[in-house]
Amino acid sequence: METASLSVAEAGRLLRRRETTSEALTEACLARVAELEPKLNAFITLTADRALASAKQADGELARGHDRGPLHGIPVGIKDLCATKGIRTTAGSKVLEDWVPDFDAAIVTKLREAGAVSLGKLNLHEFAYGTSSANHWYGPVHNPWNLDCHPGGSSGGSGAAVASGECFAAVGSDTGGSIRIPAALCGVVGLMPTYGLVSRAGVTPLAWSLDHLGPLARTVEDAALFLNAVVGHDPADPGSVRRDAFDATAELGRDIRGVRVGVARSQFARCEPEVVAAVDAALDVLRRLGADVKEIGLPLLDAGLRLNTLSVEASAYHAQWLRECPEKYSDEVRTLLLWGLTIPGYQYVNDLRLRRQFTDEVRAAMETVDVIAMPTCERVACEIAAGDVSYRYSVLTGPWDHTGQPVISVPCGFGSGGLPVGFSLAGRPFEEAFLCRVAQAHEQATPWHTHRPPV
Amino acid sequence: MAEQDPLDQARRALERAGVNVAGDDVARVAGLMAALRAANVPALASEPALVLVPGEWGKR
Repeated sequence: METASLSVAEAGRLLRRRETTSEALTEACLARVAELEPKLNAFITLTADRALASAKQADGELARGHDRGPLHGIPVGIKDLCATKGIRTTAGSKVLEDWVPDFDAAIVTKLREAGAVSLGKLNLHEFAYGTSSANHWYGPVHNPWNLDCHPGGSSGGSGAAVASGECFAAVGSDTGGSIRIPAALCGVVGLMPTYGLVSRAGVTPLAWSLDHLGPLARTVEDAALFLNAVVGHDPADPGSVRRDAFDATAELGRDIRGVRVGVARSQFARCEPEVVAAVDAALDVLRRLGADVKEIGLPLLDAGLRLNTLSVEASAYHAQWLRECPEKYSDEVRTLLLWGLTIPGYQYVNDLRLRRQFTDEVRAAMETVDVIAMPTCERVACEIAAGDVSYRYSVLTGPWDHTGQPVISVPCGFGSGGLPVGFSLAGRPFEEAFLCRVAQAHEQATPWHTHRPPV
Repeated sequence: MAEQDPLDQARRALERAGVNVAGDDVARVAGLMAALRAANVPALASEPALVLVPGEWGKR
């Protein structure tokens, strides 16, 4: 079975028609992992035996008529930032290299309750603080489209594993772009949901007021199905919100005639020409589908808004370990964290004021448009040998973690060397269903989601 | 002036933050500060922006 070409939805249909089993899907993914891991290094900890046991349980339940929903029996990967009971959880760090939690993160519990089969823990940038996933302690993750290149990050293992068919979908986290960047650079879909929609309880923080959890998947529908399985209020997460009803798939398949798409053109200025060309082509697709595409201004963003909220909050979380065991951080991450400690309080306060202004600015703009479109990254993936890329991938994504609204990155073509390009759509808070509708309309009108990496 | 020396600036800032770090780390932080200034990436950019958009509380 060629799992790399199946979506979650397709695999689910095969499972329910008894044309495959979760065990077969899991074995196929594990075979793919065995073949590719020497090249990709997407996993830190593989839990093959547990996965096969879970798959057999999923098959037994389905045979008895107990159907837990669209993720039942589907092999997925978990970013190694999420606590897993009895399974080492490193956060990609030396500090936590031996940590074996005695509890599951809320999102891990949700996935288990949805019947998903976890294959293991995925590699990431150290403590999620970086965008290359060139992990100092566990080795760099490689991009399946070109093994010499980064997959993006921090959820680089998630992006590489999903794109290469090692798993069907994966958990990512996004604080400055860490779901959307690897999605764009690996040619898959990444959905950063509204802040507070998915509980972060049991997940190592990067920056409390910015951290979002969400899926990376091979299609928009798969991302929506995954999100449906993991949303829900959780008092254990102070940022968690209550929503009575949520269904990210509710508007899939509907046309987008008359949908107003605002284009943040200032964000194109710093992009490589190949990225601009691919995103402009995506906008043409939306026009052909009947959307009203028009340019909008976002003055703070246009002026080059940069906020240091992430840096300060990350340093606050790490301050004690920085003092106690600085040698357990890579030079790169320790430097970023030390720098965060030097940012004065007044500057953080001003950043919070600017964050409020920017959020208001976007909210006002979204009274005249339904979604805002922009490139996800300013360029395609760099070569790993190019070294530190901390600010090369996240310049365009970073501001959108501050507004709390959902943003989805979808493939929109290829640039130099056959490397994927992604474009992003930002929607109004809690309008994931609408956002997925627009993104899927583009997806279904283009061939990009059907391309597979050459590994 | 001592305050204008990037290494000294970084060292003082780290001391104010209560961390004692090795000389290599001071140099790295100083290098990062300089790189961010050169790229106009840091929060240093936030203050002019605030001046450009005054009275934000009054707008609501």
